[in-house]
Amino acid sequence: MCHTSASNHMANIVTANSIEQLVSFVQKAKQSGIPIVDYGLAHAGLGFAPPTKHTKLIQQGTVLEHAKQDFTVCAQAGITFKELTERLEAENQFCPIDADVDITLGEIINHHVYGPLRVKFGAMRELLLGLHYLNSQAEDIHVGGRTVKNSAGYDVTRFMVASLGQLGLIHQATLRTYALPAAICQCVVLLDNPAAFDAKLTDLLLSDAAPAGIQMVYQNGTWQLEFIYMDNPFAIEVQIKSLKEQLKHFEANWSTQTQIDSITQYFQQQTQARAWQRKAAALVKVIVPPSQTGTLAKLAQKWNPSLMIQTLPTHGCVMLGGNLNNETAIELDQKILAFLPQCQGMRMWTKRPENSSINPFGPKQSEWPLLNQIKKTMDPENLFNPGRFLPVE
Amino acid sequence: MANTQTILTTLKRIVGESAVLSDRNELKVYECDGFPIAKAMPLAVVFPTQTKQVAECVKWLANHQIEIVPRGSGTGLAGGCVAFEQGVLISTSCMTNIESVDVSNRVACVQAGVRNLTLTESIADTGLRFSPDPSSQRAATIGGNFATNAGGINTLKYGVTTNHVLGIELVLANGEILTIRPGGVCDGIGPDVAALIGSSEGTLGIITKLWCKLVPDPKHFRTVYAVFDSTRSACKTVADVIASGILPTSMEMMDGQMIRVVEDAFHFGFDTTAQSLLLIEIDGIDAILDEQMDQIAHIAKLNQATDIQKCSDPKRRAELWSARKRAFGAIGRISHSYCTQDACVPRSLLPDVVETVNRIGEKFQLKITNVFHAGDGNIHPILLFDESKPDDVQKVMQASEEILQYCISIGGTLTGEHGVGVEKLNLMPKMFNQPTLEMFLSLKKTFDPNQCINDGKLIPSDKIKVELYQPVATNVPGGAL
Repeated sequence: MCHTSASNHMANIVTANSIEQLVSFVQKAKQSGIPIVDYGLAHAGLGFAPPTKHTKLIQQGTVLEHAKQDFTVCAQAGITFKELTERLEAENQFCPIDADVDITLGEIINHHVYGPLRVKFGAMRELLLGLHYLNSQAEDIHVGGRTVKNSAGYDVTRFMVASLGQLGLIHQATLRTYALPAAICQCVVLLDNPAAFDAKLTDLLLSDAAPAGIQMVYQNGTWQLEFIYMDNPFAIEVQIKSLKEQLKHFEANWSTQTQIDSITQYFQQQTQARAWQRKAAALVKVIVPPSQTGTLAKLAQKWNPSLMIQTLPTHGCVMLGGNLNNETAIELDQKILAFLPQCQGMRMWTKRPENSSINPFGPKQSEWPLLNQIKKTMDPENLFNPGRFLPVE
Repeated sequence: MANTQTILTTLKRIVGESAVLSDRNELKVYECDGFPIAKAMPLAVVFPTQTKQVAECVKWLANHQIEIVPRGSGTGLAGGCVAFEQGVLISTSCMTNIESVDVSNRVACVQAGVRNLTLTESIADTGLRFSPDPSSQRAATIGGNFATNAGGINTLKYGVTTNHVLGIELVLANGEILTIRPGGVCDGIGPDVAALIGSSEGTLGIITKLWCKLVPDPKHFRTVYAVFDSTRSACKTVADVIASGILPTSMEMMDGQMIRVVEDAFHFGFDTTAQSLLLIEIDGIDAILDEQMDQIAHIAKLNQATDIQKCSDPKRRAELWSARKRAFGAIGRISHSYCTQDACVPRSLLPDVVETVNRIGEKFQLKITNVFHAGDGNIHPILLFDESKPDDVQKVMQASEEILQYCISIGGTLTGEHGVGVEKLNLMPKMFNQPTLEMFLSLKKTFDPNQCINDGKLIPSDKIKVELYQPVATNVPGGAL
């Protein structure tokens, strides 16, 4: 089914759910010189604005093959994470991606979406086995495959992750799946000092308390650590017992323990817990070495007490956001940029206030000039999300 | 192009007199890697100890159109570091500093020549380890592991090398030094160039430093040994264990022939009438491992295992794994030479692959024995031959090609962990369509416009042609390349 409408005089919106339609759109884009733009749903505000004239693409999709015995699934990029989860759950499997349920697989790959479950299951670099994408000649490029190990050719599969949709039009992906856990449990502890947890995290991971996922949230004036356990009930019992013993080492107090009934419920809850990020007027993702996560979160709360804060302590990911105007966003950004050099971190503004002057990406990394050259190599027609991150030259 | 004397003088100036080998007797060791069919004597081998020396060598050699081949320990199995006869090998084997270990960030910064096992041994007191464990880990360098995306026995649960490298330092073909995601950050902005360098087999630049992710070193294990009268039963056990929700650390299999070879060599007490042997290991929380071990044993029994042993004793565990890890060494007792293939297929198709491999062995009158990373679907058919016999070499190459073509046809890949090197170049068009191959070549030219670093490996080059159907190819101009 193909739907075309003009939402304004500058951008057509097209919907596609087949490779044939996508090939046709890319060919038309190449002929007309009007690029294809897909910034996604949760990441619509990330990057520089698209060119005035563009075609906005919405992909739809479904599962193409679920190899149950091999624990792999091949799906079109337009499938939503909700549908993917439901299809797998019906076969007692799941994909531990930790993404918002309404975004597509393509958006997850293009933006390297991950969450607390990265602790146990990794992220796209671990889960993605193969990709198909269209290049700017509308040719189908197939990299990786459906095996869990693959050293053939360049690892463009993993390279396309976090490519912000600028190197090609991903239309199909094969992922690794896991057996559904017998039980899921969320434990919340309250922290006085988030930086105290940083110093003890390795010890926790070395203990029986090592969870499937960890995240930290600042809300209503308190720091909360959420531990996710996914295992059989007896194992979870052992893990929680160990967690309670560990608490005294990082100045935390036990709060709640909740059973989660299903993996679908887990992902829905996580989507809701991240809902503030969609509503925020401004949102910045800061990447630091893991041991700096709590330190940065604590500082950020002091810089601007109105900030919402959500972190992944094992992977140094700090999300800061809220109702910032341009002035307060710039102020925050300057403080972040002053903090980063000591730890070789970086930040990107997933959403900036209207008419913001903030450069969304930085500090500049040494490989960016090379990435520009790679962009020219892989998308010589500059058709795919031009100028979003890698500049139009 | 500069003459030999100028080349050697310049290299000695950069890295020091003693760090350049040019005597043909000394160079013999460097004429091939673990793939003995492709051989060539380089002009020289250099052993820098610092990144800036690598950069200076590369810049000078590239400016003088001298082919460069990066090499770690030379344990590769696909000819990825076979030399060019007027080219220079740059070996990172003397770049062996562990520059920092950061326990709070769980990252170690190492020079590319640090041996895989050395890193884990040096951090034993932290409770952490570097997870990738290829069989060659005592000798193989971490840079080489990353360049081929090496696997090993632990990959089922813990992943391959690229999953354990957070950032790298790389010398590009123009001598520029690039540092990508240093310091232990676990993410970045935009696509990850380091991920692209992983498994690039030294064709995009020379890796000089890595930031390696460190993970908890498990303290508690259980091992289950089971033998079966058929490979199919063993493979079904593998599938059923994973479907039960248990994700073992490793699931290794040997076929009947390999069981006999290993038993004859080392006398572990294996049943030499068995058709397959499965070794399954689990790790984790001590309190739950016994139950999981019993569950695995029960699954093996349901699949008609003829003998099952459960093991929590470290000594017996070490013996069982020694048997697996020494399997390749045992081959040396029964064959002059061997060629190990490295296909990876969807796990459920392993039994079909084994039957096909056996049929191909019969067709070419070759003895083939098999070792598998069964949990990954990664099969290593070991083809036994005598490399001094041209007919044998031909048969091995043809049989290998047939095996790999079959694996590709059923949705597998032509290499799970050894890499393409020169060995599997001609199969790349079977695996990838023309636009994809062109994309690979254009990426290569983006990094290396003059195609001076390890050209002709991994992807078919428009500059170099490879001929492998000649044993001991040093008598051919240009060697095998």
